[in-house]
Amino acid sequence: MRITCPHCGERGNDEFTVLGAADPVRPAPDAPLEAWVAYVHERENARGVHRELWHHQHGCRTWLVVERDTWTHAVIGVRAARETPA
Amino acid sequence: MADLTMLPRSPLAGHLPPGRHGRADGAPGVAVTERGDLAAASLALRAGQDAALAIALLDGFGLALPQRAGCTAAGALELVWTGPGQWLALDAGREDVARFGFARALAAQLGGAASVTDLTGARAVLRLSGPAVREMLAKLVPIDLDESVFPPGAAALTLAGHMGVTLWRPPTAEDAWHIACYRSFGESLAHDVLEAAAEFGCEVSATT
Amino acid sequence: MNAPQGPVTPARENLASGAAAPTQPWRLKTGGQIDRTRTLSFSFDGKRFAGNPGDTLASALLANGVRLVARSFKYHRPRGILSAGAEEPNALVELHSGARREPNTRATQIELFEGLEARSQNRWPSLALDLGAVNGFFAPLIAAGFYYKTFMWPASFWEKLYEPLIRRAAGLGRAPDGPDPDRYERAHLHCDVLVVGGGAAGLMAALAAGRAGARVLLLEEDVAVGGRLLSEVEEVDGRPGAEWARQVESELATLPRVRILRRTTAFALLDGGVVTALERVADHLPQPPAHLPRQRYWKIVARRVVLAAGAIERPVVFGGNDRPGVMLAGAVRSYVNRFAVLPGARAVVFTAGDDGWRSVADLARAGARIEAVVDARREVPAAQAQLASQLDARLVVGGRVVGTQGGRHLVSVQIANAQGGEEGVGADLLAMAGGWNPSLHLSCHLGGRPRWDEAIHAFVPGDLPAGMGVAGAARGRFSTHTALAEGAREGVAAARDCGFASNGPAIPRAEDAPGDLAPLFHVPRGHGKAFVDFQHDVTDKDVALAHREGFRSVEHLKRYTTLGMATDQGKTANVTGLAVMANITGLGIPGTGTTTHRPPWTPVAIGAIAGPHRGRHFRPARRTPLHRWAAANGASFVEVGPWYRAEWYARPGEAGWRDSVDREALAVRAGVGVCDVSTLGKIEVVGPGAAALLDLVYGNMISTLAVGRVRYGVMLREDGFVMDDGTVARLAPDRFFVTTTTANAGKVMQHMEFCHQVLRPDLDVSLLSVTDAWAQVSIAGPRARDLVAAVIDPAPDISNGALPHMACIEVSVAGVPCRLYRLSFSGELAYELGVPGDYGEAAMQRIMARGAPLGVTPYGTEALGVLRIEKGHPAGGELNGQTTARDIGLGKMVSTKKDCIGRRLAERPALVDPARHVLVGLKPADGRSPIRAGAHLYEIGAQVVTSNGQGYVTSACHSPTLGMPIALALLDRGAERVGQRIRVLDPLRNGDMDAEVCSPVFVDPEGGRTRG
Repeated sequence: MRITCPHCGERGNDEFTVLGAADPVRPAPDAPLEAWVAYVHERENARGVHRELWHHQHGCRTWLVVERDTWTHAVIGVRAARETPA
Repeated sequence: MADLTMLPRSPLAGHLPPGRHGRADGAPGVAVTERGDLAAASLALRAGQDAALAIALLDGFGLALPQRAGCTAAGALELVWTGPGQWLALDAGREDVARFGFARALAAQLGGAASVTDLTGARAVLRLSGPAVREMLAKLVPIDLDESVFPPGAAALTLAGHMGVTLWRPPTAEDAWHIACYRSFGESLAHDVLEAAAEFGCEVSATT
Repeated sequence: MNAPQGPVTPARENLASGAAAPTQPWRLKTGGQIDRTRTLSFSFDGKRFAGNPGDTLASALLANGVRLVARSFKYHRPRGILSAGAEEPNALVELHSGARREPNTRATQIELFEGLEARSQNRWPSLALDLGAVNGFFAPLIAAGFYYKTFMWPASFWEKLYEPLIRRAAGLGRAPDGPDPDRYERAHLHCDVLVVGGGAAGLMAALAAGRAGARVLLLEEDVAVGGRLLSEVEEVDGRPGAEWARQVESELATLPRVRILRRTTAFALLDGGVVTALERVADHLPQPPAHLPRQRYWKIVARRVVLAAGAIERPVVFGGNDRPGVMLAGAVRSYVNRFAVLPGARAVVFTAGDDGWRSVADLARAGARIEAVVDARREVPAAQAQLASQLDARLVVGGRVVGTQGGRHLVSVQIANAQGGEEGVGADLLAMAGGWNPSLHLSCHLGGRPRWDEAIHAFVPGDLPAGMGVAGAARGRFSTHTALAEGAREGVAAARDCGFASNGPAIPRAEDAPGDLAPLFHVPRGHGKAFVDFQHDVTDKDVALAHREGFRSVEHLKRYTTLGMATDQGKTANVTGLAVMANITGLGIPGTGTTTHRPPWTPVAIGAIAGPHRGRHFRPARRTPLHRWAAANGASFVEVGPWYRAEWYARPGEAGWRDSVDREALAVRAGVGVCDVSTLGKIEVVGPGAAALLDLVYGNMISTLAVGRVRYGVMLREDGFVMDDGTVARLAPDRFFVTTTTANAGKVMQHMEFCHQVLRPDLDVSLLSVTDAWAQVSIAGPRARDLVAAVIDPAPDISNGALPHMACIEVSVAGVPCRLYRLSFSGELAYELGVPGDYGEAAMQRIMARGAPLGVTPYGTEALGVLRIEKGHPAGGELNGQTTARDIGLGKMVSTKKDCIGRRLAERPALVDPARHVLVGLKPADGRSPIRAGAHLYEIGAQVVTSNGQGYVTSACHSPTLGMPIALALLDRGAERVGQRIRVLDPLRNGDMDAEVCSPVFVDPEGGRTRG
């Protein structure tokens, strides 16, 4: 798989590590325990387009939101996680 | 008790025996030198200070700020992009403990535009040149090294084998490639470079 | 019925030597692309032969009349050479000897070199007389699925009897005896257009894309480009095909952005246009020249791929189709035209269409007698009928080959005519032309399925992976003209996609015959075994059996019969197997299934995949700036992740490691010791937002830390369990220096970057790993302050008042700026001195020199471990991912006044259950029996079942301070059980003892020494 890092350009997936789903949002500190459990443990196992957090660990060390198709492995879009989507 | 002087020892001292390595006949395809004499510092941009940092570097050191995946040079100084808002600044013009003045000088000049952290001795740095250097590097790093993609002035952070490395080509007259890794990996990188260069014949010269 | 027996003699007038000359009796006098000016000597099964440069082992064996080259896998049947390429299922030989021995190499792909040694495989005592052939008599017992049936009972027989027997009988060569002496390399290539295959289509594609200006890489599996043009009597642009190919190759060589790799096989297509290829750099040489690898594994990143891999001719399934002398018709032409070898003197050609007639013509031209042409079609074109009659060959239109005879090689062919009448025809060569299967494998490696093409009775590429084009025979287009035209078209398109527009080269003149073909896969009800998969000995009857027993899906058929699962991955078997199954199901081939192709296309040595990463260089090593010093001072090293750490420093007279470790630990307790702790992760967190980020990352409050002070910190995972611990020093209001454990350094850095970039991008803070900037030395023991004072330059005040426990200052050592942290892991008065890496070794020498009067003792990680266990400090065994801060006695450190990673889920009922395990100390009840880490804890007298488990031992050592073994353990409700006895059970290592539960702090529980 090749991922185009917004800073480094297209690189092989061995430079990256994947964390998991990018969409869950960290709840407020006083949110109910259920919300926290969901944030930490509950994941969709999507077949198709999926947003994931990847880390360009062996490159510029940017955390990325990679939108990709889990069925075709096609990478649809990549942005730095620190930048809010347009 | 007799005092002991504290002599510095570069990261690759003893790991790059000077002389010819690998194929013995013909002109060496690759020339390797450790850059063991560098003062080094990391610059980290403070929020919103892009312009201020660029101006301060130009004013104080004559260095342009590479915006992304690039490097610049001015005299003995080099600036290499090492990630968004981060650069590795190198100074080849200082020796021994005077090198620790480099980060202080940078911090004084850059004020609040960047966080400066001394990295002198924290990286093993090699200078590579010769007609086969690109082919040799293709055995180490997975990135495209074609002139059209990686001309002088380019820099990249990538993997050599299983080691994170910084690779750059200073935009200077001498066509050399520079590769740096964490100091602790230095011996492994030196070994891998000599192995990869063996096919072409490799000349190691002493630390500059 | 019986055909004439006896040896077959070559047609003398066309051959290089008379019967008197023993060398290469089957070599043609003229022609071919071999170098006749030199001969090469080689051996097969110890017998010496001669060949020529340009030969493969297969062609050289045939030139010497060697037709029996192997025994089959299951039935030990005699086997010869079927093909002339990568698809070879029969002629597998063992190459080289000793550590270089390589089994299962395809004789059809091995380039002959001087001194080559090859041996046949899977035979005993010899190839000619194989006692294992007796298997043939038991054949009914070892049909499809025999593994699952015959050897089912009793179970205990499997390991002792069945498996050793099967392994001996059903062999695929022997592994080498020693470690591989050769070097392997990995390397990377990037290009615009990758062309896989250098035949007519591939050459045109490379030429088109190269002339357009694209960066082109052409991979050719063979030693020479040209593909089938090397093997056919055919003209391109008015010249012999091979000559045309050489001319295109020379033009490509002049294009600076085109590169050709010969002897290089693209074996896998990966996601994102990545193709992996194996270059056989030195396999054609007796051994690799100095400084060159044997093989090179290329990882190629291509923007566009043109697949021009050609096609593989398929065998026909009929009785006795595996007998030596039965050969693919295209391979026959390769041997005759390319290698100048006559593979037989009296030939029968069995063809399903026009293609076999090329072999008729070429064999006849080379001097073979064509005994018969069996054409499966109902009628044949007049020109072909006329050729048969000119050659005085029997023409059997609408016929079938139904059997073969011969011992170690073919002597006659049994032919059935259209009406079913049979006759035997004497022959030593049977060429079969059943049609061609496109080599579309690479188009399927990402999960693509091929499509059945009724016109050519073969699978062709279906939906192509992004960025791939296919040209020529790989697409099922078999005329040379079409291959040239499609290659040019795909080359132009691929280059255009990369931004290089061109009109493409003119298409050279070439043959453009349509190539009529009847479907011919299987001749049922013939005589003898009819093989579908030659390498795995799978017959048509096995396929039928699988069907009867319900294994009808292609995937089940494959696994039940092992069809297509040999090292050739069914290149000649899969489609035919499917066709045989389709005949039985009556559903037709597309309705029965499709084949799946997975990498690699041909076997790849593990050594080539590992490349240079083996032995000591399996992974890169990290060494501290003090490594050389430690090695010179008697250290032995332990690997901690990639790091090498000194574990102890042996001294003369010490009987074993325990002596060294005890001495080192006691020296720290009594005087002063020094330990290299440079491997601890070190991160500098800088900026106005640094304190806020650290408050989020650490359980405890960091923002309240004063400048010049250090705090012990514990870091949780978001699920509430402990991730890591370490120290945080505040060097300036906006600058913190954080340490992590050695093992978790990378993980913690990544986690902190996550917290910053993903959770708090608003914070103005930067993170920098400075692990490698510092040689960090722990100086510990009652005399530590004296030693520090002797080492650093005057005159910072380091008295207890000025530099108390958990404080830090900047100092200098011989003018080198250093940092001094007062920290203790050992429980003694202790410091860590940070020295810039270049000066680490010099600083250590200074410490040892100045500490000599104090009796300074270097200590390693083992003594470090002993000291921390004596103090009850958690480390790897306790930070095991299953412990909460409370479990390991750090519960009070997690602030409830602020948000932090893991705070909320650490409040989950199960994680705050008072019944949870907590850290305790253990002492052996008898005061001397060692306790082992990993042992489980039970109430004395309780039944030993999992549900009665009370906890486990996390760390253990001999405590030289206490003079007895001690341990740390996680024990349910441990805090309440101090003073009680517990059973320590270690059944895997026969450990069973009682221990007393105590406080985990064995030494100086009040902590007075640390603060003194």
